Amino acid sequence: MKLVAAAGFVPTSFRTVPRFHLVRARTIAEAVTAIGDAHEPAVLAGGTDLPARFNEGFAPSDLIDISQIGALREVKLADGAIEIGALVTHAAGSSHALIARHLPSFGAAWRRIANVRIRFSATLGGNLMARRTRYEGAILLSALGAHLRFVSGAGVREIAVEDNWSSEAGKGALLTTIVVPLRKGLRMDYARDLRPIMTQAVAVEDRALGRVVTSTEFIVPRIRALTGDRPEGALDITEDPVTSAAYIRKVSETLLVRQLERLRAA
Amino acid sequence: MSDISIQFTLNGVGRQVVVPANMLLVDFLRDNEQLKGAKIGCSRGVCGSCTVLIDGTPVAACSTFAFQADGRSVFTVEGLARGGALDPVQQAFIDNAAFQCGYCTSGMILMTKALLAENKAPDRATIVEWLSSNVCRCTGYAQIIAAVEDAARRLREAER
Repeated sequence: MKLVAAAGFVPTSFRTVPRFHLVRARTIAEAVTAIGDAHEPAVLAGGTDLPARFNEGFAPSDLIDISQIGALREVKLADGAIEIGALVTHAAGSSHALIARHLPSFGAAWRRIANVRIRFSATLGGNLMARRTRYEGAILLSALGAHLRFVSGAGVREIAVEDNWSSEAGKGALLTTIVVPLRKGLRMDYARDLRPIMTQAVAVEDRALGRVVTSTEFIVPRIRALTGDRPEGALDITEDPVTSAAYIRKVSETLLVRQLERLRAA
Repeated sequence: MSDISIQFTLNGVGRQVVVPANMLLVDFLRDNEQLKGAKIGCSRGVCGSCTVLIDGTPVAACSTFAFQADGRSVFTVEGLARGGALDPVQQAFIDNAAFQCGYCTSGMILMTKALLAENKAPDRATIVEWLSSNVCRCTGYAQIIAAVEDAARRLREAER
């Protein structure tokens, strides 16, 4: 008899976390250098997602701990945008005075992500770089037209949030800043009561222009431009492991009507 | 760096230890320190049974590396009782029968400590929001919420 495969429940503990080379970076420059030098680096920010990835078989050669880099915890105004450091936690960012003053509807939506304990530790940068569709940061930020600023040995570059779903997007670089442009009248509504079946963020700049971002637990956020009360084009969803595309489209339309009503009333 | 020397306080006592870089805090507490209050549940930072306080903030010890305690203050449920007297939150959980199997209880109690440190008079909605971070599958939340309300009342009265 030949044993082909065996499987069983393995209690998850440090015994199942593979060994790695730890680098505790104190500055952005140290982190960038460590990422550039590593064969297969992983970045530790708030640390709420990474252990789960280890449980799923992730085995980086190097763990770059950036949690002590104070410069990544800042929220500031610059060039007509709010710049949010990658290490800003959900709790700190969603209640930050600048967010409350310039994008209160974003702050309100951000406060609804995760549970209280996770909000204290999880960072916006970690939320985005985990690239999990069930994490909600990318949905909100895509609606707002936000950009991500990466720093690597080659310099600084920015990409749209929606272009970050490819693992190649930030390869060899450190996400330092989430840039949310401030446009006159910009406000948003976030519907997550049907999560995980569907979540939907709507951002409008004035009465006629905006963006609708629709996502499910399994589907990368779909972005549609909003003109008047209608999104441009059909919702491009053809399959979902648990919910039919027709149902998602119908729910999206229903939610959009309600969301636009709330935005008009606000 | 595979092993790392860290300094921190554990339940108010200064410690200096060497830990493997890949050791999780919950394993350090349970295996090295024999502090079994933090339980391993989901191992994904979701269920809250491994909750401890780091610098007063509730964190999931199953999703925190031991080295991340370096320079910080770690508090477990074992550090709550003083001179043989239970903490008012612990006593409120007993008096309200707020546990059955007890697996989630230490996490619930530490979450409550963090809540009451931030808000001495939380309303029911706030209590529910905070406790939604911790999963109980046998007691039912009614008694637990009652215990938190009772603990808040006791702490306010003790301050008068």
